[in-house]
Parts: sequence; structure tokens; C-alpha cells
Amino acid sequence: MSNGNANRSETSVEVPLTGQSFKGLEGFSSGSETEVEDVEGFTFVKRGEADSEVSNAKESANESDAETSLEETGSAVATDEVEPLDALYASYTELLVEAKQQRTEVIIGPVDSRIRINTVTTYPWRAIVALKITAKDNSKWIGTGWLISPRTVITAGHCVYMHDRGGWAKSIEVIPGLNDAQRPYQSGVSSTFKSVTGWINSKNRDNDYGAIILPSNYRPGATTGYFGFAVKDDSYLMSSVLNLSGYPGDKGGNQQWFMALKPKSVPARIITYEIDTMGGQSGAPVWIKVGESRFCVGIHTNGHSSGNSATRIVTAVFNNLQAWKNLGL
Amino acid sequence: METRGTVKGIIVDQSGKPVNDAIVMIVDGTTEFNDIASVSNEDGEFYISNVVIPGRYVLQIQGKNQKKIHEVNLQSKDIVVRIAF
Repeated sequence: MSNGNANRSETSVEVPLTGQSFKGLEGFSSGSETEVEDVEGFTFVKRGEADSEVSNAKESANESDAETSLEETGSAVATDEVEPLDALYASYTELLVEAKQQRTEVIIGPVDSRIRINTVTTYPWRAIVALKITAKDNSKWIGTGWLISPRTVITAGHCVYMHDRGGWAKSIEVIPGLNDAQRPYQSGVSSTFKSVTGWINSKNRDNDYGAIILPSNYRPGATTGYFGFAVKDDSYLMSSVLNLSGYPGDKGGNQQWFMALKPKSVPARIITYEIDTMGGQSGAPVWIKVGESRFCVGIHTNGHSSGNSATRIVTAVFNNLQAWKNLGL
Repeated sequence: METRGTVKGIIVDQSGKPVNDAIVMIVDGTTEFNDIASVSNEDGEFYISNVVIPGRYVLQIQGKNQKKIHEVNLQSKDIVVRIAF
């Protein structure tokens, strides 16, 4: 967990800027983005050109379409009640509902500024999933993920492929909106995973991301809705409030906890921030809310006292997420 | 060049019995670390995953009704960290 700085409370109420342009087609291409997938226990390393999607021709066509916008819209599915904003939370809107309902439970201070999300059956919280991971060697782990389609969950690469524990996970249980013992959308177990060669072959921190494709008979995203994702430029990210919510182990791994703050820095492939996180939040969404739209711009992966960090969604990452999204429609 | 590895640990209670279902996470370290958490098995075994070795790390062990902070100095990935909980 990172500790906050003295300016946190002031920073947290800054208004996320809107109307700025997306990054466009600037390339972050490298051979390390080639997709690697695991299907029912077998590993396939597909060779191809740098950044090429190798699943099938249809998905490649969709990638080309995506590059013209670099923004994939999410879906709340059901209509959520829209509450009026008060002055304090007008620019910090993800907090609004929680703050009104449980202000006395909010933890604010220099050490831990996370707040618990109790309204897990409302969007976007219900599109965030707890992960119960069983590695190939049967060791157990916990992490977080987020839905981008009815059956596609995005998470950290190290949640689906653990180099020192046998490689691809044996299975992962996905639990949307988990809230202590309550599982409002049941759960599903998958052994179909995706990642990229940069993580699988090189353990490159810049490529630490992956996906879980849920079985065809379990489609939680059709009910919960799902996140959009987008490529944003440096200035846009630095002026935006980042939202992060997941299932930290210090709270038992069965409760969703949230915090928001502007980023600390935005290197080419990473976003760093002083949002408090804990083990178990790997794979959590890092998103920006613009109006009623929510776009993930990063996948939380790492912790450190100098700043926690996410794998940044750049063009190559976006393209793979788009392809994986299509697999879970 | 940094070397990363995974180190095994064992959690035992005050009587020496393995502690099952404790959540173990890194809360600070000499270098950044993955924000995944390990869950101990019936033998009390857990793992500190993908960390730079050598390095010092602060672990938090979260049980159902208690927690503990424990600092480890990992000089080799072949050592086994033993924690009394």
C-alpha cells in the first residue's frame, strides 16, 4: 500500500477534465504484444507479426475498426438511479452514492483513504469481480478483475499466468459484486485465459495484463453491465481523477474497497498513483468517469511505497482487449 | 540485472500448528511488487510471489480475527520463511 501525501485531500476534489482528444494512433508496438492463450489446460504460443492478433480473421477485422476510435464504450445494462450532485462530490462522483449512504464508515486519512463499497449491486461496482485463483500447483491466491463484455474479465497477467507456480492458472473463480458472503450474481469458474508474450515469455512489467473468458453458460456481464476502455494521452490522464476499486486481502478479500485520486506520473506503458491498494487488488480497473461514461485506462498490478501502478492501456493493449471482448460476447 | 523469484513460507500458530486460509500480502518492499495475495493451505504454506531477490519486504498476514505485520529479508529464493501467527 502506498501512503498518501499531504495534498491528497485537495487533489481528490479536482474536476476530471473532459472533451480532450484521445491519443490517436501513436504506436506502442512491440513483438511482446502477441497474444498468448490457454485453453482448457493447454498452452498455445501463437507466432505472428508484432501486435498482430492471432485468434481468427474476424477478430482482426474488429481490431482495425477499433483503431479508428480507440475508445470502447461500456454498458450499465440496467437503468441506475441518477442522484443529484452536491457541492463536495460534484467532481468526485464515484463517491457520491457511497458517501451519502455510509459517510460514517468512510476512512480518510494519511494512511488509508479507501472506502468500502456496500452498494455492490449497482453499476459500476457490480462489474468488478473478485478472483479466487488456483494455480497449477494448487496454491491459492486472490485478485480482482472487471468485465468488458458478458463473458470477458480483464485482470493482471500475473493473475492468469504465474511463472513460478506452473504457468497458466489451473482455474479461477469469478465472483461479480462479491460482498462478504453475498454473491448477487453467483460465480463462474474458468480455465480459459489470455495474455501476451511480453508477460508470458519475458515477465515484462509493461505487458502485465490478461483476460479470463468465462464459460458460455455463465454471462454475468449481460446482467451487471461492463466497463468501456480507452487510450488517453498523457495530459488527459494527468488532469483526470482515477478511480480504483477491488478486493483487498487486508479486508478479507470478500469486500470491495474504493479510492480515487489523480495520477502521480504517466510513463509510456504505466500509470503510477498514490491510491491506496493492497494485495488482492491486482487486476482491478483504473477508470475515468466522464458524464455517465466510464473508461478504464489501466489495469492495477503493482504496489510500492513510492507509488502504486497500473499497466497502461495503450494502443497495443487496447487492441488485445478489443479482441478478447469479442470472444466473450 | 534484477532477479525475481518466489519464496515459500509457512504460517504456524503459537502451538506450532499450521494456519490455514490466512491471506498473505506484501505491504512494502525494496522494489515494487505484484499486488496479488497468497492464501495459506492446510499445511500453512504460502508464497511471496515474483519479488526481487535479494530484498527486504514487509508482509501482512490477515487471519479471520487477527493480523500480523512481519518483515522478511530474502537473500535467496531457496529459503523458507517461517511465521508464528
